[in-house]
Amino acid sequence: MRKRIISKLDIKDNNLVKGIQLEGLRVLGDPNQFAKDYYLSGIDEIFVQDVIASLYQKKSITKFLKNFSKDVFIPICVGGGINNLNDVTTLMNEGADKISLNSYALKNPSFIDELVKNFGSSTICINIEVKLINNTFKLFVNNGRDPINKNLIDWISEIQDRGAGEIHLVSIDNDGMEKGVDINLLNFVKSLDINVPLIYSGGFNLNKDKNLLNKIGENLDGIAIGSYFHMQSKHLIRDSLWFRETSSDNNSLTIKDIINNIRKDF
Amino acid sequence: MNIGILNYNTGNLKSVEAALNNFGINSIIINSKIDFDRVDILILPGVGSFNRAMSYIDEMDFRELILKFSKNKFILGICLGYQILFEESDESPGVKGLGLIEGSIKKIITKNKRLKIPHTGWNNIEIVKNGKLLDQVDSNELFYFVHSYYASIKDPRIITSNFYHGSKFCSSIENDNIYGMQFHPEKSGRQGLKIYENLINLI
Repeated sequence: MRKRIISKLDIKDNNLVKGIQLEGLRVLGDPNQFAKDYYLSGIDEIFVQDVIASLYQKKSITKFLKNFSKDVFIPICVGGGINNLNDVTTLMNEGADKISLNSYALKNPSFIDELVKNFGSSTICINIEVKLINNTFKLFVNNGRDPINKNLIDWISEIQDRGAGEIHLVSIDNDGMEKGVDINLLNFVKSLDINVPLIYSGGFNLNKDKNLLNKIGENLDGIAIGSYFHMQSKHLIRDSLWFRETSSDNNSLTIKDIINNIRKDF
Repeated sequence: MNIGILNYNTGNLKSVEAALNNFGINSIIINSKIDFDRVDILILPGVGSFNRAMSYIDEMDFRELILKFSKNKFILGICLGYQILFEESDESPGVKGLGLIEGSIKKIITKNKRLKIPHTGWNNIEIVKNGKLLDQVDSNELFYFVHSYYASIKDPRIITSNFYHGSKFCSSIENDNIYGMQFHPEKSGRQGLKIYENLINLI
């Protein structure tokens, strides 16, 4: 099985946005255009999340899905503010293949059981947002805003017991930094007992990570990439300020080149 | 020629609809019993659990109509829609599948810890015979899978392709007018769309 290269799209009010360490969101453009571009470049999957949905219960994602399914023929995992079975049915009907949960699952873990029973294990993905505090990986909800007092190892084991079919691990420290993946976090999870697909996201940078992923990414089934891809999509970005604030040093590479480079040893 | 997509509360309708639309085909969503007569090809999409799918089919009284349809028209089952073509499933013991294909659905078990379950992602299929739907599809192409169960098939002659995940499993079948695939052609890019093109060309 090929390791997955996933494009991560954060959505707010029908716009593609991106922050740094899940904070300070900037509007980049039309998420459907980005999704289509990444699809045509050979990406394996799209992971889209409504970054404010879990705080304000907004549902702008169904609008995105309506356009998405028209011309993008790869799987899509959808997250943001999901807290009842009807939400999931609606999203699946609009074309979602998998749904992703964080906040609500942590507060009501038995909801995972209910989802698995209704939609099957392989449809349910749990998003885990992690930040290193005093040498311990702490869990967060609401897109990195609020800490939750639960142990990471226990949580990883619990969600597997409850039947979730995929884990998406996010390093809040590295998110949007483009300084490379979170080596400490990946080394930490390498030793854990994870029997479902594991996807990592946070900070990917081709130059920093290309010879690293095959070493520390053994247990990984895929990597989700946000900023680093958006940086190579200048023609789609409305906000020119965004470029001055970030520091990509691969401006000449196309998304296709990046994907091919990652595939060489991951 | 009309293609129908069965709405049985398991999602994935939009993606199948879009794949057909890509070839200029406006499909018909089958919501009730009267819709069956309007179509020549019936697609059973499906994301979800075996029990949820079959319960809905029985609740809506679709079972007999699907069986009748299968006598002289084309049926394509995708992923869960493929699994319900069989007699039963380990996922929902005691729940009766459509029984259009002899065999049963079993849980994938691998000894190798590196092989994760669910089997999610892009995997090669090894084509045994191209048949009608895999026409002009190459053996080294990758398709998108997302499932924890596989079909254990009684008559190996109906298998058109296999995939490997620890052991060898069936990824698609053709039995006269009944077709099934474990992977999602509507989520497998260009090579998946080729399968839809072949389906449209059946009639």
